Amino acid sequence: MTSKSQSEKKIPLTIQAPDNATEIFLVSDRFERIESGIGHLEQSVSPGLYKLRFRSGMTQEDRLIEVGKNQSQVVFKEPPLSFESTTPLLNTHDDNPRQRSIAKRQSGNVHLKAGKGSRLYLFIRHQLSGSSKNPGEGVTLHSLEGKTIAGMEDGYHDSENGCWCLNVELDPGTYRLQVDTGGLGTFERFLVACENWQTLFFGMTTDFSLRESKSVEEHITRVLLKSSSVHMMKTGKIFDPASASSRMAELSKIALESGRMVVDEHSFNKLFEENIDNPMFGIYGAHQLLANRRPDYTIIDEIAKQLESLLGPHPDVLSLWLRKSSERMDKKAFTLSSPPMLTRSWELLTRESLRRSSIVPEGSFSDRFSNGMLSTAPWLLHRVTVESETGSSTPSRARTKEMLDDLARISGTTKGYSMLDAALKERKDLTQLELSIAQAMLNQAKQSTANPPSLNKLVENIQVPSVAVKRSTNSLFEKLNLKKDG
Amino acid sequence: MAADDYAIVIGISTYPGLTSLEGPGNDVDLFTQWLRKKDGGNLPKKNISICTSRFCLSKKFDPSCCEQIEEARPNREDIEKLFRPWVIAGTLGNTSGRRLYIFASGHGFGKASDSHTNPMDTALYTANADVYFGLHVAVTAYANWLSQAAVFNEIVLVMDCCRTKNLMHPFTYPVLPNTSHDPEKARKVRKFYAFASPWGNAAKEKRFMERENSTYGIFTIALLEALTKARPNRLGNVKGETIKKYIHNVIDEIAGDTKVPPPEIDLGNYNDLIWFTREDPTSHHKPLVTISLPEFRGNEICHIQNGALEALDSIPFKSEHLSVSLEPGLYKFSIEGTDRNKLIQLLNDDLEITI
Repeated sequence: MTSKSQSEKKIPLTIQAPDNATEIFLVSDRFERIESGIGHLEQSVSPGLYKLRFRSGMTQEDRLIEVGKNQSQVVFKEPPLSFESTTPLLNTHDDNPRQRSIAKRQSGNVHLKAGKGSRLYLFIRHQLSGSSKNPGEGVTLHSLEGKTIAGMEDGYHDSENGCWCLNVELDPGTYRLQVDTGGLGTFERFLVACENWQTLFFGMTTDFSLRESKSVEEHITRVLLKSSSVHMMKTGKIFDPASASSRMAELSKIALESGRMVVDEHSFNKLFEENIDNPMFGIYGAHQLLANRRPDYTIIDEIAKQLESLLGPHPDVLSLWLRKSSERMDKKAFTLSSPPMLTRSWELLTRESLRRSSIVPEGSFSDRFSNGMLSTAPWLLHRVTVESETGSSTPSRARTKEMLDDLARISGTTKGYSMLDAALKERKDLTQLELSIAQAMLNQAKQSTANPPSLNKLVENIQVPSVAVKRSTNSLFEKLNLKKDG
Repeated sequence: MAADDYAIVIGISTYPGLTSLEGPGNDVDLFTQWLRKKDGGNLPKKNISICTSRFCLSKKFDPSCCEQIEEARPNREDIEKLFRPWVIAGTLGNTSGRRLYIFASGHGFGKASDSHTNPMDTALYTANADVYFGLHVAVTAYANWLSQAAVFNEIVLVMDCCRTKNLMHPFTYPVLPNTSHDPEKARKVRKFYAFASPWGNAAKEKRFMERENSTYGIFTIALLEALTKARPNRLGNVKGETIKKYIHNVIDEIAGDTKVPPPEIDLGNYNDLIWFTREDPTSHHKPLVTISLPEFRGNEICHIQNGALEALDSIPFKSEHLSVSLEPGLYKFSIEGTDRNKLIQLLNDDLEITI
C-alpha cells in the first residue's frame, strides 16, 4: 500500500511523554511497531503518518501525527495521562482534590510520638467519599515484636471526604501494619522506616464482606493491602500530590505489580542527577531491572549503593545484592532478620537461604513468621495466625534430607498415604508450613516416577527460608510420631 | 478439513459460590463456531471437546447442580477429563496431531507470586469454587506440559479470564506425569498464548448491542474480529504476530467505555504459527469511510493521502456525504482550498468522520 523509499530523506522525530515512567510506542501506517521508549523517544523517520501510543500505568492513549515532507524536525509532547492510582495524585482516576489536599496537609503533622528518628505516614481513603465509615477501621500498627503502637483512634478521620490518616514519629526499623478483615482473617504488611526519612503508605478501601452478608450494616470495608502504595520523602517535607517524583514512583510500583518495565538507564541517571527525593522509585525500578532476562548488574549495583548510602540497611535495598555473582565484599556478613516490603526481595532472600542459611537468623522474625507469608506482587503480605510455636529444633541439612526421603517413602505406601491424607484433613495442630510439606509429599506419591521433593524444591515452591523448612520438616515428623527409620 | 487439529473449549458462567458471569457461554459458542467454519479453524466436530456450565463432553449436567456449591459443575475432574487423552499420549511419547486449541473463559486468577520462572501461570476457577475454597484448574500448566511433551506441533492457548492475584487461594499445579521429554522436540512447538489481561489484572465482559445485546468477553470479541478480518500476507497466511497486532489495535475500540488493560499475547520462542491461510489473499474486506461535510457548498473536493503522504485520490463532493473504500491503514483527508483536514486510523470496520 505505501511505498516509503529507503533513499527518502529522514526527519528527526522527538516524542516526549508526560513523565519518565510512561511508555511510548511509535507505530507505522501499517500498524508495525517501529520503536519504543520510556519517557522520551527520538527516531528519524520518513515523511508520513504515524501512530503514537502512550501507556501510563494501565491507561493507554493513541495519537495520530503527520511528519511533513517540508518539516526539518517534529516534536510531539503528550500531556499527562490519567491512570488508576492508589496514591492521591493529581491527574489520576478517582482524583478527589479534597482528599489530595488532606493527604498533603496532614503529612506535615505528627499525630503520635512513639520514638524518634523517622516517621510513618498512613493515609487511607474510600474511592467514593460518600461513605461515613472510617477508612482506618480495623487498622493497627505494631512493632516487629508485636507491640501495638497505634490504632484507628490515634489518627485523623475526615468523614466528609472519606479519608483517615496517621503520622507517627518512631525509631527507624521495620513495622507491621495489620488489618482485621473480620471473617477473612487478619493480614499484615511490613513498612520500613529509615533514619531522617518519612515512609508514606497509601491505601484504598474495598468490601471484605462475606457473601452471606446481606445488609449494609454487615458490610466490612477495609483497606486493601495488596494494592497499597509506598513512597518516601525526607522528614520535614510535605507530600506533594503534583510532584513528578511521586508520579514516577507510583507508575513504577504499578509496573512492578504487572510485570512491566518502565525504567531504564536514562531514568536512573536523571534520578541521581536531580537528587533522590523519593527513593521508592529507585527501589521499585531496581527490582524491575533485576527481573530482566539479562540484567545489567553494573547499574543495579550502582543504584543499590546510592540507596544504601541514603537509607541505611533497608531490606529491599540489601536484597538487591543477593545473587550468586554479587561482588559485594561483605555480602556473606549481612543478615535479613526483618522481612522486606516487596515480594521480589523475599524471593531473593529465600533463594539465598539455600546457599547460606544464616542470611535468615534462626529465631528472627523472617524465620518465625515465614509460616503465613503470602507472596503477592508487589507486596509481601502475612496472614496473622495464632499458631503455637513448635519448639522444634532446626536439624542439619543432611538430617532434613533423611526426613524428607523418609516422608516420601512413607507416603508411597497405601497406609502411609492414608495417614498423611488424614493428617492434612483432620490435624488442626499442623502449621501452614507443615501442611505444605505434607501436601508436597502426597503430590509426589501420586506420581510414582517422581523424585521426592528436596529441600531446594520445597524452598523454591513454598517460598520460605530454608531454616523454616528444615524446622517444620522436623516438627511434622515429630507431630506425626515418625521415627528416623520410619 | 483440519483433521489433525483438536480443541478443548471451556466456558464457565455459573458459579454458585462466586458472582456468576454472562459471557463465557456465549464466548464458547462464538469460538466453537469459528473452529467449525471452513474459513476458520475448519475442525471436524468430533475433534472439539466442549465443557460449559450446562454440559461436558456432550453429557448434560443436572440443572440443579447450579444451585449448590458442592454439586456445581464443571468441577476440576470434569475439566481434567478433557486433557486426559493428550496427557496419556504425551506420557507414551506420542505426537497426536498438528495443533491443539485450548480456550478457557470464566473466573480466573494468576499465580500470586511474581516469580518470573513461570510468569504466565493462570488458573480458571471451577464452578464449585467459592471464597473459602478457591478450587481451580491451572490451565497454563496443562498447556506447558503438553508443549514440553510435544504432543502437538502447535499449541494455541486463549484465556479470557481475570489474572488478578488472590491471596486466599494458593495456585495449585495439576498432578501431571513426571516423564522425560525430548527438549529439541519441545523447543520446536509453536505457541500462541493469549491472555485477556496482563498478569495481576482483571478481564472484562460487556453487553454488545450489535450482537443481539448479548454479553461476551471483550477479549474474545477482539480475537474473533482479528480471526475474521486480519489481513493475510502475500502468501495468504495470517500469522500469530498479525493476530496479536490486530487485537492490540482494536481492543480499546471494542471495549468502548469499559476500560480494559492491554492483553498479554506471547508467541513463544520458536517460529510464529500460521493461524490459517486464505485461498484468495485479495478477497479480504475493504472497510468503507464515509466523510460528512457539515458546511457543504457544492464545489468541495476531498483529497486523500495514504500513510506515506502520497496522493491517493481527489473526489468532488456531490452531497454532504462521500464514501470511499480503503485498505486498513493511516490516512489524511483534506478539503481543497481550506485548512480543514483529518488524520484517521482505519482498522477493519467502516468508519464515519466529519471534516
